[in-house]
Amino acid sequence: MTTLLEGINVTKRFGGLIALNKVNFYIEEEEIVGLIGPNGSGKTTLFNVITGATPATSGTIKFLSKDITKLKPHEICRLGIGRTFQTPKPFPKMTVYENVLISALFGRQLNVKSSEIHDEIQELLEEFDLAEKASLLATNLTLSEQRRLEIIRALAAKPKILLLDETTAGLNPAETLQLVNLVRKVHKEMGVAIFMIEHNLRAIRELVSRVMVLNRGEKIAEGKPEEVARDSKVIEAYLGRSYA
Amino acid sequence: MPARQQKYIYPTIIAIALAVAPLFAPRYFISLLAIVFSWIILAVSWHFFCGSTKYISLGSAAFFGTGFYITALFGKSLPIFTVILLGGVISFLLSFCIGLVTLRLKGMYFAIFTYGLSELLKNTLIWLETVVWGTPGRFVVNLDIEFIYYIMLVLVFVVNAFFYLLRRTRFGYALKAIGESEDTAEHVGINTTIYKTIGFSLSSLFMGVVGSILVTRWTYVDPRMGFSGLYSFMPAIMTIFGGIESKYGPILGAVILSLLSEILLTGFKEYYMVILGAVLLFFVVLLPKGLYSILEKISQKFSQRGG
Amino acid sequence: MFPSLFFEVLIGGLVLGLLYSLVSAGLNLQYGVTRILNVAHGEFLMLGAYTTYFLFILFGVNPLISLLVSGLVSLILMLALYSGIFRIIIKRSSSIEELEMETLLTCFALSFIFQNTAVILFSANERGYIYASQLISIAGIPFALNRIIVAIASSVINFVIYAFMRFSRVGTALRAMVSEPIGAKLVGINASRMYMLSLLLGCILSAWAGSLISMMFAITPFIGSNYLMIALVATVVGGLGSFIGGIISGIIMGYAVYITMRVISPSLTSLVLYIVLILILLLKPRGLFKR
Repeated sequence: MTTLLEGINVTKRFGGLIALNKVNFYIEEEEIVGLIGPNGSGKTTLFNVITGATPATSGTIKFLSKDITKLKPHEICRLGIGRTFQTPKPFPKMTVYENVLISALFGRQLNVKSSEIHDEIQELLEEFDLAEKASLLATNLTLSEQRRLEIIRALAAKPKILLLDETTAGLNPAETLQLVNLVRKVHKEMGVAIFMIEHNLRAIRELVSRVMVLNRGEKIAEGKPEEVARDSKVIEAYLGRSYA
Repeated sequence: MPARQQKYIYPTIIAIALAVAPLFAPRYFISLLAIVFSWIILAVSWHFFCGSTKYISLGSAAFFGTGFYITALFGKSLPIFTVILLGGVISFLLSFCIGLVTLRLKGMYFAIFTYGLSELLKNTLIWLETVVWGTPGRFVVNLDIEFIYYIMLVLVFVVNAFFYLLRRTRFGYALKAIGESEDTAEHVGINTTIYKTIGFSLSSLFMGVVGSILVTRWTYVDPRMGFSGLYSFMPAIMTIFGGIESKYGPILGAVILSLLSEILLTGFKEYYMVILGAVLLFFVVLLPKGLYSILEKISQKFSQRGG
Repeated sequence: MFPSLFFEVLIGGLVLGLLYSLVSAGLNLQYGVTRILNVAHGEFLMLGAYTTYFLFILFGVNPLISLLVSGLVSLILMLALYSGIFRIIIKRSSSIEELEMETLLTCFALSFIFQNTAVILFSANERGYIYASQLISIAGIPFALNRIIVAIASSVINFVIYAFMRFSRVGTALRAMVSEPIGAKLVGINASRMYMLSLLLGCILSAWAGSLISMMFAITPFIGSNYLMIALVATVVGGLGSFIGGIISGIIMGYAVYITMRVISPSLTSLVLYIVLILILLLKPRGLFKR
């Protein structure tokens, strides 16, 4: 199995605060890996460093063996790393269709013309049940729909790996189930690897083969979900020493 | 006549009328039209970049003045079209360099940088002229008012068409995406710095061209005239007054405000400025979508009544 | 010859620098807390200058005493602007970028209005008055007494402001708003009161700078713009939002400007300013100091 994404001793400092401390990680092709940890443990910061939204203080990040540590977000997107945000960030005054179109136009490794990809975008929208809302403005969607749009938009750029940041946050159980199925579909049918930050442990258990746990910027455990759930360090991180 | 062709009738009539106007209309009127056209170009150019990306440039005068001064310096020694082209090219290059430095950073830095830019160029040129070259002012090459009118007429159509078409290309989409959510745009594969820089430079190019032509209205000029803060302030207020969200906004604002300017400016300069400032204030605070949005609402009401 | 030039620059640059610190610290404080880049800041300076001028010319009021009045006048003006304009925009803005953009345009319009109103009321001609112009000798170099007074007054004000920001409860709250806008609100800091406070403090500092300037130089309705540009560069150099950065970079700018004016050429001050600005934007855009 080829290693898609790899992080070696990734460290991020904000002034005196150490947000990530020598974090090592790897994601292989076609894996679904979970990233969990208490609030403030550095999960989103790790995503920000991977996508270039904020530079790493030290350490290396490689994608398909190519060093991407110092690349800018748009370059990283075009290499094949897609990402969603915890709070959806669509282009608010553009339609659902246009949101996906922009990603397809700019995010792929090879440029395409808008006339060529119309069918592709239609298909994507239909696959993920947003076709009827294609001409609605992105701000007029519900949270669950916006989350879906984020994923579709990321997919339109044909990524090899998708970084999902708490996609189920704020959704009710029915919507959560819908999203879990969607992620499973993306993984199976499109062969996209997934690295997902999640708080919803059920979603994690359903989807991932492996889970990484961060606490205060350090990786404290890694392994199958059941193993990690029983790890005393993990329990202590979430609930405090008395429970461990 | 089929409906699709009908919508071209009015613009064609207007275009023809404008084309033959110099034959019938008085000189003053032609001169006025040329000035209105030039303000339309300035406002439309400002709007193309600043309206799409939401990066506010307060320094349009720097590029107008650049073109202005290029003609002042070389208008007598080079053919006029070369000089006009040069004015545009140098403005483009200047704003390209500025863009590379400031547009990789947040909008505030861009605003701050452009704010003092025209003062910088003005003061530096004043120093060069008075201390180094010993020419406190320059005599400008003279051009026929009809010549100016025709160039402006062609330009106003060309510039509007250019930006209209450009908006509908990939490039235009990228700028719009940047304006809506720059973070997302970066993550979706758009090299925001390059797109912003080119967009900014294109808009400055035409400002330089306008400056390089309009300078010929005067016989004797100095740096203060070309880099006047008016050319930074007006495109912004015209766009906001007309409506920043519509492509017709800047045109509407430019036509109304420039006509008013020409009528009121003589003799009442400071009062007029205060009123203009108050107008801008009024629109930014209470009517951010500008005049165009009001007109839209009115026409909607009419079509509802009819239907 | 050389040492006397050195001393002249040392003191001259400091006088200017301390003034710039006042203006720049005020601008920085306003932006840091409210995200409003007040490009009409220079006009408050101009207002302070004219207030002191008229009080001196008409009623013989000592310029230092008139600081109280000029501070009050600018405070009232800013209160009116805040209640009538800024509050509306702050309330309806859905994002920080939108807020920054709209308030920028608003302040741009305001500066236009104020400058031209001043031209209408006071005419564009230079005005000045003579105060404390006796020459005092320091290290063998003659300095006008008013410059010494200005240096002392602006040092005192800078010091008091610094102490206030660093040690008082309100000052700490203001600093918290700058570095942690959300966190600050969570711990109970009243945001809108802080907004108003920072705007008021900022414009008072600017007005006082204007009053002090009127003691030394002739004034016109346009002096605001020059000082604003310098304050803007100082703000970027020091770090947008860093209060202490605003003070220190103000002094740096004072020296840069004084040296340029004295040793190179007065018309080239803008060029020097911009070279500094470009260097900072290229090398350390966040400024020399942290928030």
